[in-house]
Parts: sequence; structure tokens; C-alpha cells
Amino acid sequence: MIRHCLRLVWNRKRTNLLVTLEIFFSFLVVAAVVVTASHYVGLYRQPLGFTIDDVWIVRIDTNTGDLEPTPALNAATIEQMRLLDAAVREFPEVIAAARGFAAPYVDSQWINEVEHSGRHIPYNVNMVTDDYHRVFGLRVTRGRWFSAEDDAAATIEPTVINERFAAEVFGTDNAIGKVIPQDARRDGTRPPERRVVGVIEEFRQLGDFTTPGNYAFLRHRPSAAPDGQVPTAMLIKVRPGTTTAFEERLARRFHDVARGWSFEFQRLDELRAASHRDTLGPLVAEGVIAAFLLLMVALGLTGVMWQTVTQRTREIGLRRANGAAARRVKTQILLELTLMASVAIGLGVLVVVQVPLLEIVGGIPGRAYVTGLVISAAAIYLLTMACGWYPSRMAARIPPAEALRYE
Amino acid sequence: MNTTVNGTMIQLDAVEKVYRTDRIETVALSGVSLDIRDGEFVSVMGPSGCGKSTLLNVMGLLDVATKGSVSVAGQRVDAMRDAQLSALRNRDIGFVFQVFHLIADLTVVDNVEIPLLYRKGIGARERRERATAAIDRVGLSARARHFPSQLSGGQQQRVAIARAIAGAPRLLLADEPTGNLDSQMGDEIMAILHDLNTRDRTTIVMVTHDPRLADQTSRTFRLFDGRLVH
Amino acid sequence: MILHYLKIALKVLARRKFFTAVSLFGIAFTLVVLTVATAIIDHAFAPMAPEVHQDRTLIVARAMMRGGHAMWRSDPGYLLLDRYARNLPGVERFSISSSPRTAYSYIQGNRIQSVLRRADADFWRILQFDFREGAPFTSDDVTQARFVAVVNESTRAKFFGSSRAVGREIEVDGQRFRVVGVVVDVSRLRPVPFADVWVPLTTAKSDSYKSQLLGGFMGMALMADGASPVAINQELASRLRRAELPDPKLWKQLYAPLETTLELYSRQVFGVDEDAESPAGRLWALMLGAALLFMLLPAVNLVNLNVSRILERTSEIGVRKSFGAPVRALVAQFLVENLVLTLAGAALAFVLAQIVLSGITASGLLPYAQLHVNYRVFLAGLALAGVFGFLSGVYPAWRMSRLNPVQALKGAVR
Repeated sequence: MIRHCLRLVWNRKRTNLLVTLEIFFSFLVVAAVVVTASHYVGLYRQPLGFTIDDVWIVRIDTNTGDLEPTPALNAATIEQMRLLDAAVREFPEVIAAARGFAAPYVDSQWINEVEHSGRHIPYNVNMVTDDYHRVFGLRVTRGRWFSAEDDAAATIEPTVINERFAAEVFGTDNAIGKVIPQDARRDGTRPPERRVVGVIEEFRQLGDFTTPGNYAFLRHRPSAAPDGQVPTAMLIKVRPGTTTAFEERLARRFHDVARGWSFEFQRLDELRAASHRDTLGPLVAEGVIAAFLLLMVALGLTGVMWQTVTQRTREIGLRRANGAAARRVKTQILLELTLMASVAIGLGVLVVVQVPLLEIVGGIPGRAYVTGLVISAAAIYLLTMACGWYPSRMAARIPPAEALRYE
Repeated sequence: MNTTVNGTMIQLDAVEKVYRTDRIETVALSGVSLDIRDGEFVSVMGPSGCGKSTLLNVMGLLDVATKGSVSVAGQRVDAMRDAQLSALRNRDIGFVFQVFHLIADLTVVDNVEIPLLYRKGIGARERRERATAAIDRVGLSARARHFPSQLSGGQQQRVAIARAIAGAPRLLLADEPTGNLDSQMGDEIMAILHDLNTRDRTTIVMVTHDPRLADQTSRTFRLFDGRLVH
Repeated sequence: MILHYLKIALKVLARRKFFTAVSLFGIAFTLVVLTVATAIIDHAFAPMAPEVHQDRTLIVARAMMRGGHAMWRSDPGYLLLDRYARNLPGVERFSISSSPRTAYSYIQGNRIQSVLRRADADFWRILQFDFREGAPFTSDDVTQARFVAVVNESTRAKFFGSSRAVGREIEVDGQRFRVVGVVVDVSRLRPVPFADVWVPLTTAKSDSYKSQLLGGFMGMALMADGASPVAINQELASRLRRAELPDPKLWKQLYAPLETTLELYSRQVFGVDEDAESPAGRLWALMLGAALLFMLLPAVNLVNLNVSRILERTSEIGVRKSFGAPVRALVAQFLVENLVLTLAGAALAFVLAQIVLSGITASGLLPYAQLHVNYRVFLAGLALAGVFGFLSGVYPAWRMSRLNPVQALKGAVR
């Protein structure tokens, strides 16, 4: 039966070409959306490493520019920051407060490289104060977070890295106490050693839909050499239910403490919403368009199938006359449609697979492709069957005598 | 295989067939009763529109009588469901049509295989063998892989006959089998039909409007306005 | 005569309602998506008030400093623009304004969020804003560092409801300003003019910006008639090559291109650095490719539908031919049918597109957006639909009509 259908479909390839082509393009459209979606779902399910509930960010602009600050300017800035750190802790609504260069959902990246077994491995760097892990609920899996005991170590730079970074550079060894290699400075001197004091689970700074990477935290010491950079993003964890009135009071207090500085308040969940909107917005739009395209294809294919089946009425009558039960006729038509769909999907899979192979678009893992292609294939098979269902059922129902007489 | 009762292959009793559309009622057959015995070669004659084809359709289970009883190969078919009718058609009945009804996109051998496709218990190889045997029987072995469009009218009708007998049916129904052919080709077809009847004892019911052909059969039923006349 | 064909066409289309409906849906849907996408792109890049001189305007919005392994990319600073980008030959007028920044105001426990920009007087001379009240601040205001502000209508509504705003005071980012003008809202998708509140450059909280080469500003150049953007860029690049860089041991080169918004956007999309040419051509190719790909599926669908029907119409052609219809008449009939379908689809698309566009405007997805149908693109899409319909419906019918009636009646299609 299958062989018979194969021969029939093959002999009619010119007529079947258009239908096969339409199914092929539909598969490509669906695959594009589904592969991207399953990539995002895969990313979303990976751990973030932090929580942003009730966390605010205050971006501090010292209005002095940040291009190679002079030591005197820096000292003044550091002192002002110390006052602000103290001021924020006066408020009972504040559970924890810290400062850092970067924060979750803030698109500001500082990237270094480490040379390891011949490769250059990039990692994100963030310089933070001691309470940073309390603001974000970071889980320390080995060693410890920064604390006052690190004040003593003047010649080394305590570093906390994420598990992935630890595994990539140190393998299965315990990373605690090891040093992350750095290049010499341009004037030949060696920078302070970055010694690992702790390992955290993860920190995906740019959010749920970014590929996990390597991350390292450095400790900010106000007493450090005055040509260092000063973290200007303040992160505050407040009690649940804190209102905007608190924000107004905090803003006024800050303006009093540091006249001439500007403060921008934002809630991290708003930043996350904006980031999600930017990432998912286009995908949703594409999904809607794809859905409408599929609807159009479904209607079109049904119409075409109807026409095709009608033109085969006499053939159907003949088969019925030779003893084919009505159900078998319907099955045969759907089988032929399945064969055409299989050709179209097979070709479609070949085309989609070229995208990662030829690196037309990078960054999407193989698993997303596999999941996406399987789901797309299933969807297209379902669509094709749905389109062929009604016409084939109607055709099989015509009494054989009438079918044979059909003109 | 069912044994026929009293050797009767087809039995019709007061059969009536009425076609109803929204506005018109057409009586195609009215009060038709007849017996055809196993192994007979009979013909049905009558003017156009008298119901000859309808009679054949009812005998061949392609259509259901509105009134009366129909028995084929010893079984009452009135109450049978589609699946049973199909099985019966597949096993015991073969059709030859005036317009051949060959599938243009299939080769000769693929066309002839069709009845065997729907028969349970036959594998692909046995199908091929029986189809090839049927094609040999009608003398078209050289054309087994050709398409219908590459054959003459007579050859196409021979393919249709091969298809009809591929499953070794006991009953062959032919609706004006030589209607579209010239006299020489027509004679060839008749020779094959006679051969089937004498050698294989296939019961043949042939609708025709050519008295010469009707004379070659053992009995002739005449229809006029849906009724049997003598 | 045309009326006769029209009547037949309508009858035929009405007889096969399902096919007519599906074809209409396909054509309408394709045209709607095409129109909405174009409207949004137009909205972002096409000339529109207040950018009335967009064809003659170039902007410097990105700059890069490079030295050895280090690279600093950012918006240009005031120093770069004032010292090196001013008074370029071929530039009629030059304006410096700050990059947009979110600023907050607190009124009775409510927080109002606004986008704040600092600008000079030439900003208002290059861009032609529609002033509902008052007027922009002047060069004198800027020189004297007066604390005056221009706000848009939405901001006026947030602060003062429905009353007039000129002469009244607002507090933004901890500073107080007197409103001197109110303008019509400008869309967020237009990076050059966009803001909620504009104040003079000189009201910045500190003067440190004047000494920064990189960070926080945007330059806008109005070219003289007939000036060449390439020549102007070459002159700017040569000035930057001779520029005095901070810490020359570290930083070696400085780049800042003068370009259109489209070129700027392409640079961002493809991640091209400021020292290389903008990949605007690639962006066009990408968009065109995407549009064609998108239209492929509906096109195949339409062709499929038409071809499957042509076989059904064959016997109709045969019958008409045997009654003496000339090929001309048959082709004309199919042509009218195709035209009716295409035009009906287009009409439906036009109405739907307007609905979708006003829906997007109302939903606030694109703040302050005013989306309009681009008629050229709409007509182009319409023409394409017509071509596909013609190729798939009328052409085979013409082929069929040329057969003799017997062949047509037999349905000799191959």
C-alpha cells in the first residue's frame, strides 16, 4: 500500500510540487519561530543565581565625568560615597545596601580575558562592596563572600567566581585559594593577584534570556589606591510593601548629602520587564505573524486538497468498485499527503540544519534545534492532516456509482 | 467461498431504484426480478436511459436498491454495511467499464494490481505475480510498464479486463465494454470474455446495445423505462 | 462590455465562496503585514516633523577611542563636538545636545518620570518643532544659563493637567525650571529630537562636561545645499586624527562618524565599530530579503489555489469555446476576475491596516507614535499580488483558451 502510494505520488510529482512547496515553506516559517522559542525557553530554565524581589538600583552620577579621575577628585568622591552608604542605612525600610559597577538587567559590561590552555577565555567582571550578596541572595557554594577580613590582604585582590568559571579554569580541583592569571600591565608591573576566596552558583547579569558565561566579582576597598574606579550603582533591598514615598524621601536625603550629584532610581523588576519586552517582543510579533500565515496556509491547503480530491472522484469510484472500503480510501489520500509532507519536512530539516552548520546565526545550542525541529515537524504533520481530513472524508463518502459517473 | 444456492449467482426480487434530488424523482428501476446462474454469460439490452447501467450497479453492489431484495454469490446484501459490501466486491466481483477508468498516473501493472491492494493477506510479491499473470492472459506482457496514455483504446480496455480478473472473481460485470472501440478491437475483447467464461467458468453480465454481441450470449434481458420486457 | 465581465466575475467568485474567501484572506493579510511593518519603519526613519531637513542632516552619536588592546566606545563628549566638529566646511548649522536621560520629579508623593535633554539654541533652528505654547529658549538664555525649559504636551498634562504651562515652574532632577514653551509630542522612535523636557546646556549641575572628549552628547549638523557627506566626514576624521588625546601612552586613535539615523541604526544592528563604514546597505538587503521571504508563502498559496482551480474551469472554457467565444473574450473574463479579487483584497487590507495602525497607536506600545500608511509600498504590494494572481490564474487560462474546444472539453491539461 505504501509502495503503491509512493509510486502514485512520485508519478504525479508535477502536480504535487506546489503542495509540497507550500508545506516546505510553512515548515521553515514554523521552524524559525519554534527553534528561537525553544532556545529562549532553554535559557529561561537555567538558574539566574540571584533574586531581584524588592531590590532597587540608584544610579549615581557625580557629574564630574569618569575619564581618568585625578586622585584628589577621587578621594572626594570616595568620601561622598561613604556618606551616602551611611545615609541609606538610616532608613528602617532598607534591609541591605551595597554598591557595584554593574547590576542585574543593567547593560553595562566590563570584560577581561584569561589565557588558559592556549585559549582566551572571556569573563565578566564586577567590582562590588561587601553586602552585595545579601542584596541579591547570592548562594555561596564554596569558600566565602567578601568581608572585613579581606582588608588585611593588601597585595592580593580577593575574587569570587561562579561555578562555571571555576570548572572551566580549574576543572574538578577546588578553586579556593587559586589565582586567576592576568596579563602584565602596560608599564610592565604586575597587577595584584586575583585570588579566589569563594564560589557562587551563578550570576547571569543580563537576565533570563542570555547565555550563561563566566563571572568574577572583585572587592571594592575605599582605602585602595586613589587611582582606582569607584562603583556608582547603589543596590538597595527594601522591605516588601515599601512605597514610592520612601523613594522621594531617600532622594531628598541623597540630594542633601551630595549636592550637585544626580540620582536615578529604578526598580529592578521594572528593568527586568523592559528587558523581557525587548527580547520577547519581536519573538511574540513573529509568532503572531507566523500563526496567521499558518492559518492562511491551512485554509489554502484545504481548498487545494478539496479541488485535488474532487478531480480524483472517478479514480476514487474505481477503487471503491474494486473493493476499497470508504475508510481505506480516506486513509490512502491522507497517506499520500503524509508522504508529500515528509518530503517537504525532510528538505526543510536539511535547510534549517545548515544555519548552525554554516554559522549563519550563532549562539543557539544544538538541543534547541532538535527540540524545535521535532515540534515543528509534528505541527506541520498535524496541520497537513487537518487540511486533508475533511476533503478526503467527503470524497470517500460519495457512493461508488455516483463517483464513477462523475464528470 | 460461499456455495451458491441452487447454483444461482445473482438473484433480484422486485428490485426498485429511485433517485431523489430536491425537486425531481427519477425511477431508474421498477419491479425487476431475475436470476442468473453460476457460469452463465448473459447480456442486458435496451435504449439509452432505460436503466441498464443502474441494473449493473445494483448487481455489482455499487448502488443500493430502494426496494426489493438482492442476493449475490448466495448472500443477501440488503442489510450489509459498507465494509462487508467492499469485501464482497473485492473478492467476488470484477468490473469493466465503457470508459476504461484507468488511472493515468500509474503504469499498466500498477493499475492491474489495484483490486489486490485491498485484499487481505496478499504480500507485494504475490500481488505482482498475479497482476503479471492477468496481463499475460490478455496478451499485453510487452506493455506492462507503459502508461495508459501510451496505449490504444483496445489495449486500454484489455488492461481494464486484466484488472477486473486479477483477483479471480466469480462474477464479471461489463458495462458496454466495446462501446468505445472499433469492430476489430471489439471482437478481440469478446474473445477474451468468452475465454474467461468457458475456461474459468466466470459468470459474465454484459450490458450492450449491439445485437450482434448480445446474440453471442446465452440469454438477453431487455429493459425499457426501468422494467424488464420480453 | 466591462460591466458584463464584472457581472460574470462576481457570479463566479460568489459560486465558489470558500476559494474566494481564502484568496481574499491571503491577499489582505499579506498586504496588512507589509503595510504595518512599513509604517513602523517609516515612522522610525522617514522624514517627519520636527526633522524637516532630514535629508540634509547628519548626526554624531557614537565615538570610539582606541589604543593597543583597549577600546572605549561611547557617545561623544562635549569637548569632541565643540572643538572638532564645529565649523566644518559644508555645514550650515551645528547643534550640540545631551543624550536623553531619565529624570524624576516628585509631586505630592507621586513620581513623574521624564526624559530630560540639554540643548543649545541651534537645536531649535535645525529642528522645526510645533509649538503649542510659547517659544524655544534662545542663544541668550543659553549664554546666561537661565533655568528655562521646553516641555512636551504629555509632560504639561502630567504637571499641570489641562492648564497652560508657560510661565510656571517645574522641578526636574532636583533643579527648578520656568516653562517657556510647550511642543507637540515627538515619538520615542526618533532618537534625534526625542525628549520630554529640554533645558539649556549650561544648566548642567557641574561644568565638567566641557572637558570631556567622550560621553553624554550628540552633535547635529545641517548640511548646506549640495554639500557632500563624504567630504565632511573626511574633514572631521582628519581633525580627529590630529586631536589631543588624554593619556597618549594609552590612547592612540579617535573616531566619530557623521551619519544619518539609518546608518547609525545599521551600525548598532550589525555591531560594527565606529572606525568602519556603516553597513546600511546590508540592512536594506536584510529587510528586503525578509520582506520577499515573508511574501513567498502567501504567493505560493495563491498560486496553488489558482492552479488547482484551473482544471475545474477547463470544461467551462471548452463549452464557451464551442459556442464561439474568442480567446480574447475568455482571457478578458479571467483577467477581470483576477482584478476583482485583487482589488477586493486590497480594499479589505486597507481598512484592516488602518485599524491595526490606530490600534498600535492607541495601545502605547510605541509611545507618542503616529503611524500612517505608506501609499507607495501599499501600491507596490498590490501590484505584486496582481502579478501573482495573473501568473497563476490568467496565464494558464490563456494557454487553455488556445486549445481547440474538444481538447479543452476533454480536459487535456498536461
